[in-house]
Amino acid sequence: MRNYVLKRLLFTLPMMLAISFIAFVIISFIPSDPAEVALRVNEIIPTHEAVASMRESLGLNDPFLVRYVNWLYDCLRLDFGSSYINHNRLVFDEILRSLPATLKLALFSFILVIVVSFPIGILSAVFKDSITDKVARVFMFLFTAIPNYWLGLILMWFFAIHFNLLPTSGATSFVHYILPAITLSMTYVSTYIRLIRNSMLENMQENYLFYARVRGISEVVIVLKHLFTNSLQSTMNALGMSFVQLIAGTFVIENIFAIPGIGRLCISAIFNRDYPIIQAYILMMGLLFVFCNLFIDIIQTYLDPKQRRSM
Amino acid sequence: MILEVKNLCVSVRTKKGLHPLVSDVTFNLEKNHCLGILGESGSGKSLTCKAVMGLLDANFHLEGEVLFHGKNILTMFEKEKSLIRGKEICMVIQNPMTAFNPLFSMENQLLETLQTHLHVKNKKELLRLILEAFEKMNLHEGEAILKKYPHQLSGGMLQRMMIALCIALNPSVIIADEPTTAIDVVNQVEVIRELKKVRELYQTSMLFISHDLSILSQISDTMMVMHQGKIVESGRAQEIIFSPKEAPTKELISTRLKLIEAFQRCVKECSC
Ligand SMILES: Nc1ncnc2c1ncn2[C@@H]1O[C@H](COP(=O)(O)OP(=O)(O)OP(=O)(O)O)[C@@H](O)[C@H]1O
Ligand SMILES: [Mg+2]
Repeated sequence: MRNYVLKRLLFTLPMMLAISFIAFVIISFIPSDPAEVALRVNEIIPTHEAVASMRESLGLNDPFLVRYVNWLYDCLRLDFGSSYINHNRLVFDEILRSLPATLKLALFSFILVIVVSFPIGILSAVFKDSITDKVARVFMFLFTAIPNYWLGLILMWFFAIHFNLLPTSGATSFVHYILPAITLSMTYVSTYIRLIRNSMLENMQENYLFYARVRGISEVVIVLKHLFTNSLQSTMNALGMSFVQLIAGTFVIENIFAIPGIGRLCISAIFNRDYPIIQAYILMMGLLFVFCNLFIDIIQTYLDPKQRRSM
Repeated sequence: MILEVKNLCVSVRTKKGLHPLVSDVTFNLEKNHCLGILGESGSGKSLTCKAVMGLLDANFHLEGEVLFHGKNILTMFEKEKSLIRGKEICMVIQNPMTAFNPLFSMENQLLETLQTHLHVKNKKELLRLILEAFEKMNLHEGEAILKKYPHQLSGGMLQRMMIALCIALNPSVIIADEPTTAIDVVNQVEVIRELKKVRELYQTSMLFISHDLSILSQISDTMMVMHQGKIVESGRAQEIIFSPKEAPTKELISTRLKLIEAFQRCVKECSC
């Protein structure tokens, strides 16, 4: 078990290196000169001398690889540089400050996805072609098609403005997260209803279910213990990815509902061409993907008796 | 009479209407009696068993009666059926390798079954019951086996565990659907011997299904031959084996004759 985890961790190293390289290259290939940008955002006229001295201080005159290695070395010490906009603000602190709101939103949405999609998925598989199933399918179709910013605005208008039940923006208390979380989770809810439903329908003809019936096990136990757990095995991978996607996909929602999260930080960084923040964001999301994937893989291996032994 | 099946017809609902799979099957099963059902692959043996267990879903259309102690299983509510299925009528199914849920240990699944049917809730007591049944099936080191997962056990072992489960539950009827196909000849002989022992011990009635005449001849008192969903011949086992009347039976017997010889030679070797 420990060896397996260590081995898997070791294998993520090249992946992490590749991600860091890509994060660095993407920013380096942006056509505008970072030095000029850094000057402009601080309303300094970019004269030749000013640009040259800025390039010097930002270390832009070094060869590409040297710059990459320096940057990587800084990253390893969690030093992602300081914001171009405000030199007193460290990128790391900015991210740390906006991360909790995003994490709360993502976690809340994730729980919502599970709590809503699992029961509906199970019901629509067990009662295939029933009214429940048909309603669920229409729902699935609708929410896959509806763009979430539109849904967000509709929900906001309806619950926050028309009925004045919930706040439209901010992130100071739990109620602030209700509308954004619903908006964010809807696409995933319909995806997971479909995944769970299909996976359960696929497994329904399995011989062990027939034998469970032969043994006289009650239908509830058969569905929840024998059918559902086996179907969950194949949705687990997707679930792990979805959690990261929820964190990475909060851009639009955070902007609509004015949640001071990481998505909003990144958007404003993009508008301001605040490259260090964008770079750190790309790096962070890439690493998050790698680690979530790894985490789910390990859990999945652990839960499958066939693979557990070989760990 | 424990089990009476009267004019059982099973058809499957298709887009073109009802498609008959089993027609007009009638048989009786008395206490401490073994009825063998012989038939080639696809002749409707398993479907008949499933119908008897009340396990065919709404895709199938059923006619006739399946009387268990005089009560028709086919018209029972699910609640009544659950008192019989798995407790009064136990079944050993085909394909033991896929019969258990791969995610749970054998202990979990066997205990789950006993907990459903027996009023004993004490886990230790139930485990003792299972281990005793294991011993009767010649499954030694039961505690180690219980900790294993289905994929770690052979088809023969899993088949024996199904039979052991039947023993632990002490039903009035055991239906054994091809309980010997997953195992080699030596093990077949042993399984047959163990099933016979169970009958002697508990006087359980048995419905024994096979497409292998030599196996049926070892265990069944009476026999019926199925062909394309119908019973073509039935009677005492010895009579059918030595003087078959209908063409399908004759064919089954002639193709198995050589095998029987080889099989019996093997039985002799095993017993001495
Ligand atoms: N769900 C189903 N839908 C349609 N046809 C079915 C279904 N189940 C079984 N059949 C058909 O019914 C016939 C009898 O099937 P059954 O499983 O009873 O055969 P069997 O005698 O047990 O054969 P085997 O020795 O291979 O187990 C087969 O021709 C099969 O194709
Ligand atoms: Mg069969």
